[in-house]
Amino acid sequence: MTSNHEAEGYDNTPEGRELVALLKRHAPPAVNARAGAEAVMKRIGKPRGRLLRVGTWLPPLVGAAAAVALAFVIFSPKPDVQPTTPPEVAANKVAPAPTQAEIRHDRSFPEIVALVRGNSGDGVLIDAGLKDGLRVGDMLLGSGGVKARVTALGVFDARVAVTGGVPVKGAELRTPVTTEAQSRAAKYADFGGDPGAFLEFGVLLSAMPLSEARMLGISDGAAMRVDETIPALLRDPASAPQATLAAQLDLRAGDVLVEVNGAHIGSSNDLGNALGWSLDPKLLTVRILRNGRQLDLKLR
Amino acid sequence: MTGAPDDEALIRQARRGDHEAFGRLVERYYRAAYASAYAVLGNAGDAEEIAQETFVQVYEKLDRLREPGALTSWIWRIARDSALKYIRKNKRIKPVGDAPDLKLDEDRPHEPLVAAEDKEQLMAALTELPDEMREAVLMRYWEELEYEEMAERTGVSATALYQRVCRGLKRLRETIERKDALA
Repeated sequence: MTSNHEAEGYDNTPEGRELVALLKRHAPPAVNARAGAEAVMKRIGKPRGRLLRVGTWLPPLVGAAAAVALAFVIFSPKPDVQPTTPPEVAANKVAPAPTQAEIRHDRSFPEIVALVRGNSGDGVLIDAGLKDGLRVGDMLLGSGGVKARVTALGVFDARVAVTGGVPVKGAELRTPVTTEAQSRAAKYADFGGDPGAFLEFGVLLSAMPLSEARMLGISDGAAMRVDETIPALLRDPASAPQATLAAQLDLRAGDVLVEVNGAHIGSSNDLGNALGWSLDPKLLTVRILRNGRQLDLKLR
Repeated sequence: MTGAPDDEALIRQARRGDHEAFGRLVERYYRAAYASAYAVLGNAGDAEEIAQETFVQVYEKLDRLREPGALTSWIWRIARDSALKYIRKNKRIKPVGDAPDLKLDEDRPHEPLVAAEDKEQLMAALTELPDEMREAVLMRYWEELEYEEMAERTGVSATALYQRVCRGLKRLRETIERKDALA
């Protein structure tokens, strides 16, 4: 048994410090308490989110435009850049008019907002997309055996193909709760839930540990590493996916961003400033470290 | 002091049906429940699920909490019990389930294994700590709270909490060494 007297000051002994380092090394990954609280409130039936009715929320003209847009979805040509999983959109389906569907609008993960259109096999997830951790190929599950696969993604919208069951009014689709999906979505917490330019640029970044960055020769130890690249994005739900700038530059997971357009990148803000918060730059030069080697990538 | 309304006021409001007040309590202690569950499960996804389940239980049992000052300990305990129940129910233990950061390094190929072993040992030793020591150690090093903040939460003096942390660390070391010797 350890007495108070014997133990006091143990945190400042070499053994104690080693143990503290071990504890910190294996601390749980960061968690978004606000999103967690919202998920709890939803589970106890007191959601903080808004409940919207599509028919009243969207002006009638927008509803009609959505029907036209859906026709474009179905008959649109194959995209130049293939998403990682090809869309399963049936070529000969006639687009039905959107039904009035109740949707729950809540940004907390893993609930995903779904607008399911009539008895069609296709749909658009409104205000749910990359920022919620969705990826092309993810399966979404709904009531009544409805399953939907994500076929294309934008920052705020996702396109899905329904693969089973019959979509009904008020249906909600959910992603299975997985560590992987949650950790994806958690990365957006740094952006206040609005990932904006970085996802549209096509990268998910994280700050490198100081010591690791210094070992790579980055003197101030501030560097951002690419965790994940996003190959293609929807610019609007009816369009074909387009290659992101990161994909066009051939950025890869593990690359360390050193400079963008001549500016040193030590933080997410630096990247935003270097891009001028523009996703349509006339010239983009990116200096990276890949496997310890420096590479200059250019896009005109 | 955090300047936020104290727990007692929030609990009182939540009991009267103020969901915003309860939401603030959840937000304040979500990391504590998550850390407590993580110490048992070693897996972030499962720990978050348990953290949420914990607050569903807290919501249902809030009227039974007689001493508002005991809220934090109560949450730690519910989260831990729920995590243990979760393991029994699922009949699986994933002490090193989250190890995506353990990338192979060509020059040091054995390090990921060592790191995984470290984590497994640490988690096992943590489960053997008395509740009050584990709570103090994890509040300090996983939630990264200062002793004054810990004192404010628990109603225990900062000095006593410091002693608990030091004793907890020492006990952890002894447990890890004992297990090493047996291995």
